[in-house]
Amino acid sequence: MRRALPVVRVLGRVVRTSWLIAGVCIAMLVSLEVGLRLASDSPEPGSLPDGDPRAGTSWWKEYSREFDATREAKWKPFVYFQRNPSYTGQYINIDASGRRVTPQPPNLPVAARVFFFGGSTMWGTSQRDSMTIPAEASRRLQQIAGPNSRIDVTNFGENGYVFTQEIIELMLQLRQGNVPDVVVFFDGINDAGAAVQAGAGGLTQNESKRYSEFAMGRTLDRTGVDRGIRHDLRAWGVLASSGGEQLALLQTLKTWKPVAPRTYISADSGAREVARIYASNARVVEALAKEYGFTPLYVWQPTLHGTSKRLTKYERRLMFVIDADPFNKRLQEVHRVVPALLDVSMPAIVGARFVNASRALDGEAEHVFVDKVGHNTEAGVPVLVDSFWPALKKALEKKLPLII
Amino acid sequence: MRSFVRLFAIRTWRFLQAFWLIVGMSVALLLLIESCFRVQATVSERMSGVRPGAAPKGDPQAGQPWFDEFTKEYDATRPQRWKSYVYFGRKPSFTGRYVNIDSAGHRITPQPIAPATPAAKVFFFGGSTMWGTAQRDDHTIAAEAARRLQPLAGAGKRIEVTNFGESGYVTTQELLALMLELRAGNIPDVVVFYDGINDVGTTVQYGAPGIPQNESKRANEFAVGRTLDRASFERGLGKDLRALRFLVGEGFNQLAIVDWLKSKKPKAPLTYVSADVAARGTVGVYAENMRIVEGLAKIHGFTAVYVWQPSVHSTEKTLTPFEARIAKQIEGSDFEHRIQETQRIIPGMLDTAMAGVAPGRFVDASGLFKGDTMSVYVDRIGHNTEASVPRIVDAFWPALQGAVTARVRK
Repeated sequence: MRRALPVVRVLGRVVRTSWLIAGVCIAMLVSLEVGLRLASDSPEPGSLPDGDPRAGTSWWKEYSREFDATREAKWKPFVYFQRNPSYTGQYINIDASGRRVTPQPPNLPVAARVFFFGGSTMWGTSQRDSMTIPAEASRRLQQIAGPNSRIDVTNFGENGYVFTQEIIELMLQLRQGNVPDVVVFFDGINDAGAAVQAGAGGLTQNESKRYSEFAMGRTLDRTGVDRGIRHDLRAWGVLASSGGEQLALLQTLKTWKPVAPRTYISADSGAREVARIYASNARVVEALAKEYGFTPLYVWQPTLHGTSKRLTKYERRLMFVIDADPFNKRLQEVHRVVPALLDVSMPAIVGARFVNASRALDGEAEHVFVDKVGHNTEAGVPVLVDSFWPALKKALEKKLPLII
Repeated sequence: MRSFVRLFAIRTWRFLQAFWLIVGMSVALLLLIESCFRVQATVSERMSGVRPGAAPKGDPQAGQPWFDEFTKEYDATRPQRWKSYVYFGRKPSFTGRYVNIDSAGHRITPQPIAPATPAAKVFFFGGSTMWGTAQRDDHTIAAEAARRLQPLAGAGKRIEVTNFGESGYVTTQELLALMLELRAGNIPDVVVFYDGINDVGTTVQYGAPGIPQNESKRANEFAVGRTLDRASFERGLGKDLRALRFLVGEGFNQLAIVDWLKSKKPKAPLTYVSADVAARGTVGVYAENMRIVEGLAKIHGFTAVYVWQPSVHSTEKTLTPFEARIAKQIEGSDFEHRIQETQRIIPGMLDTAMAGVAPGRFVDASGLFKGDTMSVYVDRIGHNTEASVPRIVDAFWPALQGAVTARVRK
């Protein structure tokens, strides 16, 4: 026993010293992390690049604040995500269901209901409530409804949504008995983007995040089928590595590491995938339309990537960014091929209810795109609505023969 | 002044040293207690001789020579991966003696593979009862149906059966899985939906119908993803501190000692949606989902058969001693009891609702084992013995046979 005491003492000292060294290392790491964070400056919220068409407007600063406040998304069954509900602002309002509010006459009997589906361009990114696509369409629709009734418009647009998510959302609405008379699908940017990102059509944007979140959930789940010390060690490993990922230090080190160039699906395969999935989805919508008695319209939206318009100086800068980035370049190639493929496949499925609006903004000399995603200026919105207005009017005329 | 600074530095260093050593000792103590908890759990598990997840005493199939190997394979195939839109599916490509999973993650149904083009394609959708929990590959509902279907194809032809069943699936997930197959150009001739247990369970779990099982886990995982995502729009110290708090909290949650402490905390009794509301909600969603299937069926030209499955909760069979034990467990749990009440109301409502949606193609199999003495249920979820599978297929066979025969003739 006595002989063991010095050994224990030495061991104790070793452990103590190691622990203190670890403490000093952690303190150094924390100092370095704090230093890096202080050194990195983040752009002021709402700041715009030089020449941005929104920069001179009186509403942008407040709009931008409201936009940032409403960006956070929460999980929504089957469609993955949606904005948090119930936001009231000067330019952005979200209703209790998490949908962008479309200004429209409130107290008149509803003659018909129109649902608008799409991604952020339909939601109205960089547009005030009264200037979104559904808002513009709603104003025109009220004239059809006449003075004693109204056409109810709902904006189901949501950031990043692809066509499949929109169909699922429509299905969930139908299941609840919320049946429209006309449905407008306004798509293109997100479907093509998700296909190039994933290398396959029909997935949502950032689907890989859902994979890793689900996998992490299984690893951390203590009520799951997998239990025991090995499971818990894996969990701690995942947590430690996630902790490391949060460090600015690690992020800085990562930027030093040379990144292997990514390869993307070929433009031809990507375009064919996008067009094939789009047409197959349209068939599903047609089935729903027959069963529930509504008329769907399908609009393939114009994009910055595929535009042939005379670019403004600002848009040229955006295009320069696209040209320099392999992902965006491939996306551009896909966008240039898809519309022609859809012109061939869609009429057989939906007749004249497919509107290829990919060239709708080509004649515009002014700013219509505000970023490389392809979000539109408020001034571009009436032109976008013009592109599908005849089809929308015709669809409603069928539904409202007595009013017209 | 210099000596003051020196003294201050020495005292601060000593304080930090002492503080850090206290932290170290606390961590060491925590690890020691954690180890004790884990050792104790392992020893008591070994002494009781019951492996976690093992079949309970008296399991009607436990004496079968295939049972141990099946259980081993079943456990190996339980981990799930993310599957777009339908949330999850088994990991693909597992080869076993009794459980085989194909490259798409579907349970394999033994059936003829020639000629290459089948005379008709039949899709089976459902939850774990359709997947075949507690059943070998050749004893699942899909396998039993596949055997009976082959003669309908005619000489030199075959009918292809695909088992899309997956543990925990509710009808909405099945509808989406079907939609994705159609989108991919995989069009069936006949589709069988075999549901009930999971749809009712989820409605009672959440108080609202139409949501997948454990939806709250998906919501949490998404929120965690946003908290940890460094590529998102939300950045800065506030976000990173939230991430750090989450990671530390989750680290503690993995400790056995935290499990023990949680188990000691009194739980507020959970309240559940009334049986009547749950039943009406479940029926409403089921009927609307099937209406959407009918719409897809019309445009894609397939025939759908809908089966409301028998469940241990509402069974009127003569219970075996093992099943009586299950029934007692159900009676003892508020959650299970509410499911039981709901299961007892639903079939009557569905008969009315489905008559308008799919006349002649809805099969209410809920009363299937009434008065029967055979061993049918292996757990309180309502998974079935292999012996009961032919009886289950009997229930919807006339509808399936009729639908497939009509398709083959066409």
